[in-house]
Amino acid sequence: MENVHSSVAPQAYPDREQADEALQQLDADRARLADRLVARPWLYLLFAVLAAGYVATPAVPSDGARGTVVGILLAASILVATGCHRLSGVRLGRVGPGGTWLLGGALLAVLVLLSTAYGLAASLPPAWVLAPAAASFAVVLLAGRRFDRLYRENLRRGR
Amino acid sequence: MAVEPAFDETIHAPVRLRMCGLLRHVEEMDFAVLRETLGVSDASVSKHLRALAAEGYVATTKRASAARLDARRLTWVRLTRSGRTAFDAHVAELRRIAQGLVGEPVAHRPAVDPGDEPAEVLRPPRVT
Repeated sequence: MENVHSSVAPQAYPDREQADEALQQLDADRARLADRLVARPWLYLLFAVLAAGYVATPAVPSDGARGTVVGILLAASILVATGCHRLSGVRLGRVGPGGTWLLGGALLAVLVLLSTAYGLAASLPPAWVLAPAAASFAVVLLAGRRFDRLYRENLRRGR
Repeated sequence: MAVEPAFDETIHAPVRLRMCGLLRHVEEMDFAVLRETLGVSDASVSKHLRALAAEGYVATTKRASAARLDARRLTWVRLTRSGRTAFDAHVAELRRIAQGLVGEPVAHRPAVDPGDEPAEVLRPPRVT
């Protein structure tokens, strides 16, 4: 078996064609990785359900019970995120400005919808919180899927 | 920040270049995913990872797997800061070569070959 010393033997300085081939190979590898990183269909659906559950918590009458539900939802979110990167075998790197805006925007939208849900729960029957909960489900699902496409597109382009 | 092009012999070996190319765009990657994406053997990945680790370009950690029921831990690989810098510089140099801008290397970082004579510095063909 080849040892480490021989594996670091001097590499010939490439000519123009070899350098071009090496760069093309890097592009092809990135494209292969991007194809492999397609998120599992249930991932963003699960995040969307968790976000909707979080936004619906103002409908829970008791403060103690609400705190427990929020705690369970947060723990479940962390578990899903951690489990996802372990199952895929890849922990994502830079998400880029587009990804940051997308995730930041989705988080902001969920917080605004949560605030709306609190307002509705205080003045209307608790069932009204289902409206902002449904909206947050849609926001997280769409933003998650868009983020997935954006990340893989950036990866493919080497950004 | 602009990258200073520099040829790196350790990185330039085809499998190592491809490894760095994949690791450059993620935070870390499971050994098995790296092997499958490259389409090379376990032994080859291990060997080239050792060479990159000897240069301080990659770091590995072992962690329990969510997908396994047994106690075996998975090896996760990541590019270090110096690995990212060296890879970016190497790719910048490859781009210069591919564009026909290089007559002499801007910088040439020979591979570490401990215990042996210093690696020979190979000159690029002159562009006439």
